[in-house]
Amino acid sequence: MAELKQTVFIIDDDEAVRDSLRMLLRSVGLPVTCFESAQTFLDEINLNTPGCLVLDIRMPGLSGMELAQRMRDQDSLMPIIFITGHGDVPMAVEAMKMGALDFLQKPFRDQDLLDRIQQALQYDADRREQLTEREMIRQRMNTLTPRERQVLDMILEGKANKVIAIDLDLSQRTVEIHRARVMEKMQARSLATLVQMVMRARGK
Amino acid sequence: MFLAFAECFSEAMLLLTRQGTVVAANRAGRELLGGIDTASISNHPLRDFVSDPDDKLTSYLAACAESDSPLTGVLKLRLADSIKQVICQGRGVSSSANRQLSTPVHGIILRCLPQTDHTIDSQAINASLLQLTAEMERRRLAEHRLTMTEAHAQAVLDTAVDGIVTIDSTGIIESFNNAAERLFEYRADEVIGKNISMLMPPPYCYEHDDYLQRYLSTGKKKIIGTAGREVTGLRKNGETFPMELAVSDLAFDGAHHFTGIVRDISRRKQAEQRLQQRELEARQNRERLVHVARLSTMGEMAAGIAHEINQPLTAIATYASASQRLLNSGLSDQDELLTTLDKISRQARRAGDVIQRLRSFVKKQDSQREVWDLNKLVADTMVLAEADARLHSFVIEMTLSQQPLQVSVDPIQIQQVLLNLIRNGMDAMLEAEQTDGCLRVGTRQADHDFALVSVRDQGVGISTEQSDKLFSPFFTTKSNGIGLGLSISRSIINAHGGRLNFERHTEEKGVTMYFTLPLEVGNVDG
Repeated sequence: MAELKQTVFIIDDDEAVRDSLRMLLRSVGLPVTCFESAQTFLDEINLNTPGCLVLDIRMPGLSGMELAQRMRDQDSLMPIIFITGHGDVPMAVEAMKMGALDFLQKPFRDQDLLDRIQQALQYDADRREQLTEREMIRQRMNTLTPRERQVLDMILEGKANKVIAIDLDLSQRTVEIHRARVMEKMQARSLATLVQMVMRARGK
Repeated sequence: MFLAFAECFSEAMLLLTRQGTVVAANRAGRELLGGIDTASISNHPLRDFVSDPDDKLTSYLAACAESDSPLTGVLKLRLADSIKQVICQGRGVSSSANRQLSTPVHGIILRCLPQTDHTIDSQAINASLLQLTAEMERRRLAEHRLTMTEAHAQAVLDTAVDGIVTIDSTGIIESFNNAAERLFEYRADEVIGKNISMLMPPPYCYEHDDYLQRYLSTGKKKIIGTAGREVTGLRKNGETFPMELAVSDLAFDGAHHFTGIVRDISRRKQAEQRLQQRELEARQNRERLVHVARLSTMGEMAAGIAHEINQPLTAIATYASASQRLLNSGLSDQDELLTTLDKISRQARRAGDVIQRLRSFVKKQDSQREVWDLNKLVADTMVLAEADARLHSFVIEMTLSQQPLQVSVDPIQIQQVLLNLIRNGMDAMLEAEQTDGCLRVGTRQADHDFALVSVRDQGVGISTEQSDKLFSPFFTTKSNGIGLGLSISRSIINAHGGRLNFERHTEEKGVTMYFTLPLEVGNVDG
């Protein structure tokens, strides 16, 4: 797989906090882009960009929580780490409901934030890999003929070739040929691999 | 007294008892009776010196004794060796009118106009007699009046509530009334004749003679003539007490006499002290209340302030650790590190500034007036207010007057009022579920003498029903309010000579709360 270029996005209305975070991320060699408001981020950044978002909750205008809601509505997968100067349990719960990966209270230990960011980036990378894989499987599945799909479904149900042949009113030999074609098209080396691939593609 | 008075007359004057015994005679009288000395004539009957051929003397004297007004008679008297016709004028006198006379109790004053020749100018005699009579009467009345005045004066002195002490020009006590006796606990006879300084505690007792001396020589007054000075008195038992003293100077017989009227004011002083104490306590209570309200406001704002302090702290911690990492990895140069250190100290000051404001705001202190530019005071308050506003995503818009507005205020208390109004405004906007609300804070010169600070919100507003009770203590519309904010704010503004009130908006929702403060004299007049 090609090297994934991830960016850490930071949104905080406090100039000093923003500036210091930019410096911190540079010190660990992570690409960083800062925004002073949620709105400018929304306006400028494609939500499918690889990376993660460090988001201040309390901000004038569009608040951090509102931005998270909008990103959810737009099916963004970008992981969010909330930071806040004044947090309480209800706020943390709400943040988690918004799909926050984590919730940090200012002032935080730099290592904690960096760890969370690394986790978020890993999470993002994993998610992207999964997506890519799922997409690939789907594409392979799309090459199957209707009859081959029928056979695949029945294989997944655990039916033997003989049973499939009776159910589909085919000769056992014909079922064997279909089965071999399915395995070939799906690039599955074993029945177990095939089951795993289809499950993943169906998001289970 | 009789003699001193009688010697002034050139005509003979005799003082007789009612029975006709001579008590005293003036010089002319003694000459009339034969030029003998007073001792020889006193206590001798008049008849021993005069013969009375007509035998009218006895009956004439008896008539005189009964008469209040002078009775004129012409007597032929043998005086010494010759018979003379004498015009007499006599009247009865009462000794009670004259203390100098020990005896007789009643007597006769007889004036005699000896006529050496037998021809009498009766007109001249009559004129002379009339004159004499008038003079006698005038003196008699004057004497009577003086006696009455003296008696009356003594009565007044003794029944006076205030102590009255008179001294002579050297400070020696001449009189000491009953009230003075009670006041100083000395009997009059213990102090009369002694120096007044015995009634004063040190160091005044050593200085009094000098005061007197200076006054007499220069006329410079210290206490004399003033309507009551507070001084300290000394009782017989050594106790001192506060008293009010008024002194008047009366010069007669060529000497100064001073009358001091003293009043014990220890009770009044005690009452004054109690009143002062109570006022002090009331003031302290009020300040405690103001302070508690301030703490309460701070408590409500704690979240915003914590946020406000956390921001620079976060920046500091992050700058520091980033620098460390950059140094370790050799990615940073000295210039960048220096810039970062500068940023760190700026953020530290920023945090310190918030804490400083917070501390001075919650500090308990006596109310102190300082001259401030109201604009600066309002701008300073915004550091705390904006922390709170950010927490609720509100914006505070500030419109300050162009020219400075100098006011003499307790800056902390004015900030307290302003924060209270801003918090109320934000609460009203939260209640109205106004997100992204804007609070407008402004200053301007209201009129020639007053500056005005206004806080305009976009909240739920104030109903007529609420407005009646708005400034009453313990009235609140907030679920967790104690209802002291506005009541205390108003009392603070009133104490500064301004006023706190509100105005509803006709077009928009919300209200404008405003307060005025008197401008310092000499403020730039716009």
